[in-house]
Amino acid sequence: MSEEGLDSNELHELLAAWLGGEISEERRVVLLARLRRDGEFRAAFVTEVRTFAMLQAVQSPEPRWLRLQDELGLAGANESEAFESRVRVGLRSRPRPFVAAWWRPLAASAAAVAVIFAVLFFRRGPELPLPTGGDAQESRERLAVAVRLDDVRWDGAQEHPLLAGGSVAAGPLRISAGRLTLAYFSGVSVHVEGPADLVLVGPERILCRRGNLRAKIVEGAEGFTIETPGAAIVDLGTEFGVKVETNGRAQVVVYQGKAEASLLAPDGSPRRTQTLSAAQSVELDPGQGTMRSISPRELLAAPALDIAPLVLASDYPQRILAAKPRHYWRGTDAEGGRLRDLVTGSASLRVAGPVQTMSDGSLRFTDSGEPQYLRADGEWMPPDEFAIELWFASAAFHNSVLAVLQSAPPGRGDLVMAELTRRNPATPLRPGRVRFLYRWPPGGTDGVNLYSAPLYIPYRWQHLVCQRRGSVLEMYLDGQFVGETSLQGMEQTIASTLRFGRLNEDALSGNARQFQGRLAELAVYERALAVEEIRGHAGLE
Amino acid sequence: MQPDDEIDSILDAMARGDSGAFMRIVEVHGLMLRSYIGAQVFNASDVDDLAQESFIAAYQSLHHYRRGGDFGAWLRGIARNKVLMFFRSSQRRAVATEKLRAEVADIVGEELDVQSAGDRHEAIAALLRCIAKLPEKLRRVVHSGLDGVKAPALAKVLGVSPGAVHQLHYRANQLLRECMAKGVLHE
Repeated sequence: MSEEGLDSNELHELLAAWLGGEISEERRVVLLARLRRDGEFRAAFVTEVRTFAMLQAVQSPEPRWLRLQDELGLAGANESEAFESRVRVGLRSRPRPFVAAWWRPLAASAAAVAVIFAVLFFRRGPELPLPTGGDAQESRERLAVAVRLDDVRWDGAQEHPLLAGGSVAAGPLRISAGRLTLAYFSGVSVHVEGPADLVLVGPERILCRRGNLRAKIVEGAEGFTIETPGAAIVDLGTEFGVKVETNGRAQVVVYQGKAEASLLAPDGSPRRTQTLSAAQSVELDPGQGTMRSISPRELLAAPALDIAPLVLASDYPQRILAAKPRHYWRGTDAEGGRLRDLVTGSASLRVAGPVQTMSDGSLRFTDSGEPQYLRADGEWMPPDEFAIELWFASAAFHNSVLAVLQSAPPGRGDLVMAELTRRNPATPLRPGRVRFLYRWPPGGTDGVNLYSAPLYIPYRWQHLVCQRRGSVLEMYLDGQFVGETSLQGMEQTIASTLRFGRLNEDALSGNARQFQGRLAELAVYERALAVEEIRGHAGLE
Repeated sequence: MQPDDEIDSILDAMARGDSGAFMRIVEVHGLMLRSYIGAQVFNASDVDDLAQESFIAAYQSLHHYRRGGDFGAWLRGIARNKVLMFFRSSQRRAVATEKLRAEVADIVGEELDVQSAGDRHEAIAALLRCIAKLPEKLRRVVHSGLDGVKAPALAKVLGVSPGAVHQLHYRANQLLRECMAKGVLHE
């Protein structure tokens, strides 16, 4: 044992610094000196960083190895795949349109004040610094997913070109041409047109040296800020555009809602501010210190983001029925506002609200603002083993319910829930994940959580199985096992009602977690599915 | 670890013109290589980028590999060089955290090679199930660490001191390593 002791504060201090925490030069020298001379300290440190690195590797999606495949001459390998498979993969990766805008003045104003306050404190001048030192603490934070790329040409200085469906970390983003759409974990969407030179600083802030941007902010993400050399545009619950030229001059237009544009003094304080409403536009010239109204025009059109039809093998329904589900509903079997259960033959799933049945058998949940859900008739007591299987494609990152089992009679709370999460500082939910929750006793809080290790990808069809196998909850996303957890003494059940797409049926609820996007192929089993079955249903075998 | 005969059969397949056989090497060594690089470089996207560069370099210099040797060690040697080149960038050296990681990587390189020698794909993959077996509080600490949440922020949420968060993390890592070891033993 080392004389200095292994389980020491110095080990934690060095690990914290290695993970991106701040450290003084004096402490850096001291800790590195110990790392050199103390073999046991060195071994303990390596053990810890190796554990971190293994966890990071196993929790991250497998890289796509595209350059390697190019090198191996496998770039055209997909050409030999079956036509149906190619179509399925291609269609699943296509995106769909965003939802309509909205804003809430009071909350937005409060958020804007907070952001202006932050700008006052942290901004030092019109030069836009790259995140370094303290900023490097958040340099690895993943912020968004690239959901659409149109003819993007990456600037030579861009270290990590993005791929559609890939996550985007904080840091520089440079494109010389083309258009790129980012879906932030907070629900914010940002369209970028090149040439653009940006730094994604954090979940609520972009530094833009040059480029044409359009940002749409959703409830709970107010205060999103785009800073330019010498100016800042703060969202007040809106959709707005900013076009920044290399000389620092910027045009701002508000499409919906409100935003606040500010010219900044060298110390970062706003020296002139103007609140812009819908269809108002200004030109900011920090060099001249001027801000003038100009004729509003669309600086960057929002690209259409479509969820493509779900393409499955022609025998998919037969395969599901062969797995002997308790219920199986498809949008193709709708009659009189109900979906027919392909197992029992009865119309047992009531369609509430403007849910649209699509030609591919999926069900489209619109952005109408009205309650939309699918509720199963009767009650069901989920046994020790059960599985809920479905396909989903979400419109952006939302905190939204895919399926929920609520104890009967109504009002006693949730027993089981599968939902999608987004970044929301007001909740501790892991953002951008599928969350599988079991509560005992049923209620609105507490319970055992299981989060998918990988992120879900907006606008893309994904296959999901959430199931209980005795004392264990398991989750499979796109046929892959993505996590399990123990029920830890909560292995009890109760008669429940099953609903898809919304947490509750109350039109005035402020916590309805309304799903937006598409659901399809809803199946419920009174047993846990085998891995091979799940992979088969997901199209992996 | 990949059995020698499997490596040999992959090399034979590649010698016959089946370059796609190399992807089997990627499948078996990918997790290990990313873990090895990640223990030096930290940033996940940098890790994946360097892993890809390492595999490309390995493919291009496969004729230098001696059959019967330790393929994993050979691959790590290539990755080690890639990491050194990565840290040599003056731009990275100018960032305090990157400078620290570069110095640390330099100091711990030998120890890292020793500890990485026994890594197996199955053991690392088992971590996913091991995380699920952690008590809720420890699991939360591990997830928060991976999500980039700093100890002081997590300490506030959990109502404990930052030092206690470090201790929880340390304990969680211990349990995970024990779980990994058990998983390997029980195979």
